[in-house]
Amino acid sequence: MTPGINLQQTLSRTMLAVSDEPQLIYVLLEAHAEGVAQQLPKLPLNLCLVLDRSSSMRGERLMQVKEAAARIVDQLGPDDYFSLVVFNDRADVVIPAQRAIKKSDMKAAIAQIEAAGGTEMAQGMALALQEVQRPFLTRGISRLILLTDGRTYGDESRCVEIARRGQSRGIGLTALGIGTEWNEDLLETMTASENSRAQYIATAQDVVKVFADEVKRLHAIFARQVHLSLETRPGALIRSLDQVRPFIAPITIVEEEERRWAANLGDWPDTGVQGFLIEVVVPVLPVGDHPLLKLTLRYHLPAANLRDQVREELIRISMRPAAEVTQRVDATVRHWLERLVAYRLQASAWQHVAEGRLAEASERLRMAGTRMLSVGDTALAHTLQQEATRILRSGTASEEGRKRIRFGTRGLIGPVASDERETGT
Amino acid sequence: MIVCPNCVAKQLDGTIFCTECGASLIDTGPPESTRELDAAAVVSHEPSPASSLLSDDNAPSDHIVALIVVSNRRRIEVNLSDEVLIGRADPTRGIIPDVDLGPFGGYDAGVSRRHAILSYRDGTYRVEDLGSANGTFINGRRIEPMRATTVQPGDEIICGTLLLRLEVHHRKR
Repeated sequence: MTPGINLQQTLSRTMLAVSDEPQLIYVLLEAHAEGVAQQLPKLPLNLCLVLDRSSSMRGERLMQVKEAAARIVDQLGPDDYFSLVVFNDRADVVIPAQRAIKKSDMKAAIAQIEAAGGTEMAQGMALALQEVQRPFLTRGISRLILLTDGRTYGDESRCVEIARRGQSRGIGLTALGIGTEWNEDLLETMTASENSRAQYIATAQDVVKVFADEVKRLHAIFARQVHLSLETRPGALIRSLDQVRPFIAPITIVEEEERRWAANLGDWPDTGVQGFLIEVVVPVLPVGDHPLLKLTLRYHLPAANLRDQVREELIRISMRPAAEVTQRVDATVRHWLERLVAYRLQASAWQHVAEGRLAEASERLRMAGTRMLSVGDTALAHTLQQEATRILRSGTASEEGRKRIRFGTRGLIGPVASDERETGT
Repeated sequence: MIVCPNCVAKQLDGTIFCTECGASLIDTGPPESTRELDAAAVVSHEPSPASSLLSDDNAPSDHIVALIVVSNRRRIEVNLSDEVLIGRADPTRGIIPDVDLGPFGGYDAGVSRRHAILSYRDGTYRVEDLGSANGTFINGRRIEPMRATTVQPGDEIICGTLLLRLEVHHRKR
């Protein structure tokens, strides 16, 4: 079997009733690697840890972070590069970029890190970006992993600018927030790009696992610069495209020319499933089977020296007289859509809070709670209910509740579930 | 076109969750927005399951039929010996419907003076839209005017944008 990406499509309804109005259909697109693990060597990693060592990190948090950093060193192979930058009011290089060979020296340096001072994240980011660009890799994965527990004041826009500069050069950012004090708007803005994401670490005990999982995921990357283009039939419209597996992320999709839409999907690991939900407006069509969408997935397989691999998929829709059509909706599509709807509801709730429309905000959170309850996340549903009530009473959500909701609805409270779910219920 | 039973936003056919309020638009048990209502609405009756379905017995006097105005949880009992007119009272024109939605925000919600007929015959409830200006919807789906369409106890009936729910309880003897 040639290594590559396998695509699977599921429609919310396989048949639509003929109608004199346009209709909405949801397409779940699931992708997984095929024949990769056996045939392709791993891509080398070039990892830079950017660690907050402000005084609030003292104690359990810093201990766990140092433990986690040492574990990462253990996970790396001789082809991988590693560097470590710490910051408080200033930034220092603790481990300059080098191959992960002298592991005991690296761990000794990690053990020396002490907490003190304030939080000036931009300094740390700038130094880390410089460090991660030192090694020359022809086909490796470069990545910054940032961990912070506090707010940085005054240099937020510089942080975003540095993150963007890295992303434009193919250097992704994983931003991890620990505790309840950090600025989730900032971390989400810094990571609003493919190959980047923010994640919430609710308790210090989770740090080691979150770091280890991330390195494992980066090691598993096999397809790079995955690009999706969608060609619609005349009259059809793409209303939205969102990633739903392994976590929820809205994706920018643009109509590049008439009826041709395009989106960048980043780098993919060969473990688990990448799932996407597409909302398509189907135009008025006569009885019969019709092509609706042509999907083209284009990607590189650097480990096999293969560029511009292409996988195509045609999505067809069947129009039938109303009497022959059931209203049954595919359960898997419904499951992922329901999670996505909960995420969208909470996002609009925060918007309403910012505009002072508290009753609407509370209503949105309550409905998000209903959605999460329906998909089986009782704990998060409970948090949503609590914060809905709190907003009505006090006009604001709690720091922790807001973070749990923002990251929980996306599936990004660490450690992230391994997403082995294959079918919905 | 479907109308969200929770927030009355207009949605494309095939939509599974309302894009405005997130309510489910496909039938999976009782509508979420009215869950609280069931308990509150039944208190005036002998205890009986809120969703009890009709028995084969088709004598309407065995049932208590009511329309619930979901937005303010008001309950309008209906004497359904044959059929009732749903609409908005206009004494100057001599229109006095059996179910007057005027006091329930009917004007703002676009309820016509002669909006629809609710009937009960041969064990079946039916709603017929009388060519109203803003239409009648059953469970979010617009019904054809001038044609009696079957409704089940628990179904949502929207007149214009006013959301009602049909409730039927067995009367214990």
